[in-house]
Amino acid sequence: MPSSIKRAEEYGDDLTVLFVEVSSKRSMDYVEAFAYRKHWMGTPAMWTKERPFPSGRKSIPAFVLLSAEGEVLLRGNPMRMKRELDEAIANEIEGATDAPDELPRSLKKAWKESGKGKYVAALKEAQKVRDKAGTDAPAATALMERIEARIQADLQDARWCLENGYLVTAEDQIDDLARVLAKSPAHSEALEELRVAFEEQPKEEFNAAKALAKIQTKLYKDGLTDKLVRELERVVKRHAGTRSAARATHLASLAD
Amino acid sequence: MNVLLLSLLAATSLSPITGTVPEADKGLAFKFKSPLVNGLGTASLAALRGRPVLVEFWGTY
Repeated sequence: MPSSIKRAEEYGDDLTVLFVEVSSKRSMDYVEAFAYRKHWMGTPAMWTKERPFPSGRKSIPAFVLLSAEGEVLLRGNPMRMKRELDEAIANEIEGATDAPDELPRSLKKAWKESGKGKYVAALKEAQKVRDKAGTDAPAATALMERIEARIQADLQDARWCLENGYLVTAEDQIDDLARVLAKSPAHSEALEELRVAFEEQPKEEFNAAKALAKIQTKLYKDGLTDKLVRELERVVKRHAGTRSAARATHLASLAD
Repeated sequence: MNVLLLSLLAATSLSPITGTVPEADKGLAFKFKSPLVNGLGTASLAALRGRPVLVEFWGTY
């Protein structure tokens, strides 16, 4: 079993886990079906067969741990380096609120707020520094751009979920964004657009998304059982033409 | 960096903790050709900046 399944469960959104399956003869559908059969799905981990870069090892399993900035922190065999890997991950997550040494002292509070997900407070703090137009102003601008990029990425995630029928997920994301960006006039238009786009989704899509979400939870726990495949087929029939029905069709096909 | 530390690094097959290295750099620019399973629209590793990323290579065989 990929050793980081438990890490994906444990760290949730604090750590992005990407599993790269390197058995070249197997299709991605095979890999996905395999993961469902093993009850490995149900974490935030993502799965692919495309190698974004070499692992640095000739054998598997192998891992590469990247920092939040994309730097290689550690690589090796996750079975043999369990303690080092767990320590490196914990340090990196904890360090999200610890400002880098080279960051001006005037921006440490903004960095800390940003690390906690308090983007609006972080932007306000960084703006104060920038407005002083002193030597720290360029660093303040860079930090504000970094925070803004994070906000835009979160907004884009919610848009993608809406456009692709993941309406249960989109609802949670929009609620979170509304809370995080509540006091930000600069983002109110984007939030309002998301809210309107959500409310304009056809009722049939909502019903289908909710029906599929219930089955998905059972799939994570039980795998692609005959009973759950029949439930997927019912979603396809009852909610024909919806994006969730298309996903249900795909999931049911994995059992073949 | 002293000799003892270098030996330890070699023995444990650790890559030295460095700044960005070329292959990871290329990796961050890497755009996936197919949607990731459970990726919710993630199209490249660059899109994942802001959180640590653990990439694990494994096989079904």
